[in-house]
Amino acid sequence: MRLLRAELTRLFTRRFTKLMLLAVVLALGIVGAVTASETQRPTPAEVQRAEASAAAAEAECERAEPDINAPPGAGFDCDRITSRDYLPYVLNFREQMPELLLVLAGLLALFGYLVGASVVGAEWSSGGMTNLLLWRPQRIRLLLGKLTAVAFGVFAVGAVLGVVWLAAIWLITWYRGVFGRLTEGFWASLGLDAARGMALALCVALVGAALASLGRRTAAALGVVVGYFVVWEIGTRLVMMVLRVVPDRYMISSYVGALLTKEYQLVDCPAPFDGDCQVSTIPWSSGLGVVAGLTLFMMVAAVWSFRRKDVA
Amino acid sequence: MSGVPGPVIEIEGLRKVYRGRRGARMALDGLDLMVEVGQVHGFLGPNGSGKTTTLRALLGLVRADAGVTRLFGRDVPKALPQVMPAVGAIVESPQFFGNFTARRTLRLLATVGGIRHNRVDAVLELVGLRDRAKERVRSYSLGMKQRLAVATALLKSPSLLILDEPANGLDPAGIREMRDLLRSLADQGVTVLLSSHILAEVQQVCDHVTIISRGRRVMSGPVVEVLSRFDKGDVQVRVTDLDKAAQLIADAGLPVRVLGDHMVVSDLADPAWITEALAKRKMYVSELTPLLPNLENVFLDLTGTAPTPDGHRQVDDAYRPPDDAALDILDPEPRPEVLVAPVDRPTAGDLEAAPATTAATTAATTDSPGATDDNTSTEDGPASQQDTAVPAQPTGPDAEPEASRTTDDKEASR
Repeated sequence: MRLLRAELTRLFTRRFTKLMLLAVVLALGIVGAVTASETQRPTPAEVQRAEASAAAAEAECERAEPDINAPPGAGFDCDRITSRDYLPYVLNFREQMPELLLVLAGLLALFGYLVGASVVGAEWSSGGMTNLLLWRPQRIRLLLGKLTAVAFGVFAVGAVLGVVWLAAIWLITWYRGVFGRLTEGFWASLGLDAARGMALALCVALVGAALASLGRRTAAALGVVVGYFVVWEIGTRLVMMVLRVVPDRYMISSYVGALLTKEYQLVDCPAPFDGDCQVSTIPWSSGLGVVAGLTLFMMVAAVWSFRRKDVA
Repeated sequence: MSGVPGPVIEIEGLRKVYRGRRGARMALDGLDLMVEVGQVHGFLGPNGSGKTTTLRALLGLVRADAGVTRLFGRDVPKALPQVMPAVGAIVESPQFFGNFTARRTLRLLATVGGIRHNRVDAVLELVGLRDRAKERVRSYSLGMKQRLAVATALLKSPSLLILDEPANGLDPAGIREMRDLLRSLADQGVTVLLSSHILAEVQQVCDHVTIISRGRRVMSGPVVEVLSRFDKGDVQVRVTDLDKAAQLIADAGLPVRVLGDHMVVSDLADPAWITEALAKRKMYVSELTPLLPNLENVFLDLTGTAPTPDGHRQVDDAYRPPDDAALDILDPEPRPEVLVAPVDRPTAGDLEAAPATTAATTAATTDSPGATDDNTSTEDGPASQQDTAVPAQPTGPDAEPEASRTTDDKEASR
């Protein structure tokens, strides 16, 4: 417990942590400000004009001749024309809060990765790890203490920011948007979204810390991510596309996407395209499984390495 | 912990090989080290001899390939969690998180160790950082970081202090303070293991010393006794008719070297003989100074690392002791083959009666790394200094004067 307390103090005292926290708050502030400035609650007259315009457009759409060369199902669905298309942007809390929560989850994951990697990497490069081992010569406990502190810190930041972000969007909606129907089901769904976002941020932070411990410097964690995206997510994806293999199934980003957005669709269209694509989905549970498994693997590797290798 | 009987530090047969892409390098090759309770023990060795690796292995930072390491009688690294609360340590150069202040650095360590935070201010005062404690460590000089490192080691109020180059970067006042601090801690019963290259400091502070070279122990024992092994009974003499006086002494069988305006007479038990012998021939001594060996010269001799005039000595050129060749002065039965032979020094009475035979006796120590030579001479520095040796009268087939042994001879003897 003493170790965890010291590590948490160290984590939140670090200038990099403060700067990253400031950056996240700033980014959220910009998103909030843009949302607040763009949203505009329509007047009854604007609603009436929009409904009339939508009705006219829909009638014209239905009168139009269908394109006989278009593949089946490729034609425009006239029912998709609504009055909202003719209104200025208005923030709908029910519809957009989950998306805005995704923004927070993404920023929190980035914050977690950088701070997690930095707090462990800097400890190695500054000699702090040696100092700590002279005080607490229990390597596994020491590293797990650091990882726990990183996870706890990211969770605390995420929880606070989540509440603040929810309150901010609520206020913006209160003044300039519409709430929609906020049922119990909506709140339960929003809670699950938040939990999945938090899980992703925690896993990403732990992976960052574990990679920094494996490479014994912050740059190692950053280099691995850059290398992974360049080599695998871009390079190998291109090769797979040439070989007509659906690359998304083999990309971590697909599973991250599934975890964040409830599911990720894998679309396999034949070439030449005949209008019949096979669609399969990666459910969020699979996404969580892959991300959590990867995190566990990295943590075990970091602990194994720390236990075996000399401290230079 | 200090109440535990027996040695505080025991290292037996410690072996460590660093393996890298360019092959393996033996850092420790069966090293032994023993530090008893209450000692201030100097741990000396040339660069790359394995001092820091030894300390790291002792503290569980590197994994030894073989050997036994014990702290307070308990096997480490297994028992490190139990014994480390009584051990304060600095290993190599001090490194800290640059953006933290000294006080925060110490408070964090105190939190980890469950130490009351008021101890932080006490150690900051002790190492002279009280007024700079709120500054970021990044702004500290090397010496100030070294002081902070010492503060971290003292924070635990340890029974055993392990310091690797604690005076590194300290200003003269800091070195003096460090010396006083170590003495004060020793007076309080704290055992200190001090690794340092500032040998004058070690000689002043330490009561025991272990010298290692290329991963093996070369010599160990009380500092006074280690130095006495190398006391050749040299005396520096100034006299008006230097050459005549030197010849007179050489005729008496004593090794003499004329060095500019003075001469050095070796193997002399009683300096009074010189004044007496020269005065009888109307030559009057203006200076008669016993030249005592210092740790630096002993170290250079033992490790074979004295500078050579004909090239730059490489770190791996240091002396490598053969198996079981260490000289442990505390050993009740020292190994005869490596002992520095006792010197039979002439007294005034002896010299009047017969020529000295001491040169031959001293030369019998050729296999010992402690055998001295003029290239690594104790009082006059490296052999680049031009000595004018006045040969003693030969006294037998073994009478090769030790002054004639060169670095090459020593290399060949290895």
